[in-house]
Amino acid sequence: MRYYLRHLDFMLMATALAITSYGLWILRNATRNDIPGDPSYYYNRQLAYAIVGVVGMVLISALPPRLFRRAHPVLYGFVIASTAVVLVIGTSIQGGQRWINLGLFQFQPSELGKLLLIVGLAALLASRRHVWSPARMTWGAIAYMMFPALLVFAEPDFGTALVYAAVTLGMLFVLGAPWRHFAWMGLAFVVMIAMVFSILPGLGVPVLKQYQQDRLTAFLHPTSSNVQADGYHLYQSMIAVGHGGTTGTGYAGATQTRLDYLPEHATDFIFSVVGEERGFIGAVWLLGLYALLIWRGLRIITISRSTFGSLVAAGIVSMLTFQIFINIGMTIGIAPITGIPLPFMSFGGTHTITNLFAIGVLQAIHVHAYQGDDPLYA
Amino acid sequence: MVIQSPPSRPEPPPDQNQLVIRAAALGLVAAILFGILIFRLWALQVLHSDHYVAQANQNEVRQLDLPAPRGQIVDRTGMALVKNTSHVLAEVNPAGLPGKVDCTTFPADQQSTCAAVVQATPPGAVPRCAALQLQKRCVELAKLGKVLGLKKHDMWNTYEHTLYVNPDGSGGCTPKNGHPCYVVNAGAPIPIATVKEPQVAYVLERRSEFPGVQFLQTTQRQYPFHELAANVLGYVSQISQGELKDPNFHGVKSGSDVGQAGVEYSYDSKLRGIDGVLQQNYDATGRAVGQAYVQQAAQPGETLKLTIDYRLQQIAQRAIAYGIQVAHSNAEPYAHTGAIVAMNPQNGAILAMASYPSYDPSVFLPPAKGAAKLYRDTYNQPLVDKTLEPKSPGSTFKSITAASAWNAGLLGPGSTLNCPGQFTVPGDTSHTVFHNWTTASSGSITLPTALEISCDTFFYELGYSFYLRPNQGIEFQKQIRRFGFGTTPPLDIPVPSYDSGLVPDPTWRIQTYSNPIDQAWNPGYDIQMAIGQGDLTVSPMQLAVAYSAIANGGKLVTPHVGEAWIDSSGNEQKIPFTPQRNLHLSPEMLREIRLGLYEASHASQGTSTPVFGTFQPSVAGKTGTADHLDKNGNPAPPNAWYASMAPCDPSSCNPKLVVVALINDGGHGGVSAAPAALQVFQAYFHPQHQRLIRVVGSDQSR
Repeated sequence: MRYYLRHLDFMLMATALAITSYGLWILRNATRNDIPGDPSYYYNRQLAYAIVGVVGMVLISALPPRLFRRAHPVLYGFVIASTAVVLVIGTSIQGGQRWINLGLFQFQPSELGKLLLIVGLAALLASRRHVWSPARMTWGAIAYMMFPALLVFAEPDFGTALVYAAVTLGMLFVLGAPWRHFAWMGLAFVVMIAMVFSILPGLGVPVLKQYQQDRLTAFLHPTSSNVQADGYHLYQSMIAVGHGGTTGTGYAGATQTRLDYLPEHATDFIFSVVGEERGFIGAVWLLGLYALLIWRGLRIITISRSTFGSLVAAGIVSMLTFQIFINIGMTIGIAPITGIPLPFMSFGGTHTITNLFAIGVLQAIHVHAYQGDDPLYA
Repeated sequence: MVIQSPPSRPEPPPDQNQLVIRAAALGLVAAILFGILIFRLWALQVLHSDHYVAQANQNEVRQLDLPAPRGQIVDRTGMALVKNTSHVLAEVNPAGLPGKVDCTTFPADQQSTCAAVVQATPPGAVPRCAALQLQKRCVELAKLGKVLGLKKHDMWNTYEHTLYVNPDGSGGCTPKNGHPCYVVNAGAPIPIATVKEPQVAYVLERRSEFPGVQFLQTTQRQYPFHELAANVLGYVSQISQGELKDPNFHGVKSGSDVGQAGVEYSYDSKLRGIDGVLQQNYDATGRAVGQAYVQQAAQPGETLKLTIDYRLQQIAQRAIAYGIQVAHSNAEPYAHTGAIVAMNPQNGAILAMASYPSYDPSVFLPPAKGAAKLYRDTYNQPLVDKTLEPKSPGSTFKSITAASAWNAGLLGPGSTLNCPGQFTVPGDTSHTVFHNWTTASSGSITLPTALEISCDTFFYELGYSFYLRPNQGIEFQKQIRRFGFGTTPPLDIPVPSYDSGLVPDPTWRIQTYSNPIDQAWNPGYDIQMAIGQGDLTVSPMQLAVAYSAIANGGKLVTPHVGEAWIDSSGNEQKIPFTPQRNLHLSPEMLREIRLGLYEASHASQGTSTPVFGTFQPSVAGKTGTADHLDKNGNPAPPNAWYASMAPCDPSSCNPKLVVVALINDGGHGGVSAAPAALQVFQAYFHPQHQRLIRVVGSDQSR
């Protein structure tokens, strides 16, 4: 116990809790008028998710990472199975079939899948290091990721599929895949974009649904013309962020949020609320907290004596960085609208819990940083 | 993914150098991405914030019309005839009701009927609720009607009557038998009824059950005197699609209330005031948030002061009822409607303009429940202003014939003509006989005597003389038209063009009849017109204007009811009216006609002496008993007329009041119309006597 406490990364924990609390405070103001007669509807639920997440984070941080490593076939199997189940019996919300109704809350397997995929992929790559050739490592990682990614893509949840890809990329990078692999992947990405948006539809094979395509390209032309279109949402989001100015409007002055012009202000567009209410200073303060979080994650990559630990940390850092950039970029018009939530801030049970669990996993790696890889595999 | 068996040797530790480099590179990527975000945020929030602040402000605020309170209407003494009261008005917004008809929601046995009705509906419209009761829209309206205490048909009519279109899609349809109308379920919210607090609470507690229903704190017209002067005042209701094109309503927005008749219509532009602007915060779903604030105050309409004297108007309306009652007791059971015009002959200011029966204009306020009843009463036609409705004037017209003949040189000072029992046109082979009202001959008489005893044959002679003039059937008509007959009086309230009255002439006969025998201009037409019979029709208002010219020495005044505007600080600004023209009547002629009128009401043989013989100041007036045909072409009881002025006696005639009274189907003018006119003179000259004077009309002459 004393060992555990001495080796906890308190700064990491404090940062995660700070962002979560900030998120709860922002959410409470932002959703006060959303459910008539129940101003705390979202807040109460998010608070409960956060408590579950923090408790889980603490418990996970006490576990030795080798446990996760051993469990990885089960975890991977769970990702595949739960994602497949969603496709069959899942609940649809706003055009996406992503949830399983568990009674108490709506479970979103693809969110938990991010963390489980990281653990599974790390276990695979760590055990095959020096066994497979670099090229086989890269192909293997891509194949391992592709299966759940395609299932998620079919929900359809393009954003989460992208997170899976980004995570895999980050882990391969830290593992030491040759630079040229990334060059090839970059080229493949460009070709894929061209295929998806132009060549395949031109050949009569639509890959993306129209609404996905519209959302992905809406950030290129925000507009006020169509109230229903995503371009309008983006337009209102940019107005909200710009309305905040340097110091923010405060709760009372945040008319974009309060008068419901800002869509999805509890979930995907919660950063716009930060931008409007707290201004440039508040937004940069939040980005600073995220930077702190990422720095602690990068540090854990380097201090871990185990390849598995470094890879898991790399996956989590990549996941957080990618989601933060895409989500915030979406609200200010420099990234496509993909439905990726903002870690620790956006309302949502599975994703809040998953992110806090991920911090718990980082803690566990930090605590056991000097233990090296699992001797059982020796 | 199958995990292979564990490798036999321990895994080598990670390459720390490479890890640090790769982690640093990953950190660099993250730093670059964060840098992009911060740079973009700086651009949005610091550099270009002003632009977005302006956008945000525009988002939340919308401007609404703040209806200006309509100006009051007061009588010449300042008594309010039309006021405003504050009400909560229930409105239904067409956008909130289902716009389309879904026949699949109908019971199975009615689906085909529904489909057939919908099939016949023009594009963009839906069937009337009365035609297809189970439409969702109509069910919703009926539900609201139940809460507001309105029958479903009243509810539907109130909602739909401004939305009617013809089968071809054009507006302004009136549903009648065999003429279908449809409904375009769109446009401004439609006022349904004023509501009470519990009804508002009931609906607001069940918002979702009453789609499109909204409540509006508003002012509404109130009529303290109910049926008083309804024909003068007019009424107010929401502007219809057709009226939006009326130049009188230039600049009025759809959904506003406008004057629909009377002075409410003709003085609408100043009565309506100027709407203000309200600012109201709205959320993205259109819900109002917080209190609206007044950005620009509404400018209330000015107060309109009328020339009408409410007391005299009251008396006049009652006097017609009294005249009808007198007619009934004198064997004229069909007397039913009437009119009285009381005018200041010097300037045309109308002191009383009574049409009987009248109505309470408040029936036109939403839900306009009683209005349909008014339209249905085709016998009394309360919405038709009887003061403007042309009828045969009978003997009251003899003064005009006399003046016309004098102007044409057929009469001069002291001229005499015979007054035999009958008149035939010399050389007429058909031997048509024009009878005097009495068979007795009065010998050779002067013009005043002819007016006094109302000698028909005297005026037949004049009519025939006009016929003999070179331009046959032209000159008499020209003289008559100079007095304002045959054209709508230039009154400052709307006068329908069909109320111009008719001065028959050869052109009119040719245009009206196709048979050459009917088209020919015969001496009989001029002869009959001379005693105010035949095809000639004049309205009480026209006759009052003509008698005013005789009273004031020859000015043809402009009749008017508008006296002045009173602005919010109480300053009065007079509304100017100039006489139409000067008729240049000779003083000699005026003296003889006025004397004739005086004797008609004072001399022993005068037709209204029994009524006015002792009244002070002296009233000079002419009775009229006009034969006419009813709607089916059968002889009807005569219309009773009285046209008069006072004070006027042979030594001094400077009248302050001209009164024209008409009792339709009232029989002899001296019996029913003269007593009605007497009430008005009594009230004007002796206001201290409040009671009606009972007069026993016994005279049976014309």
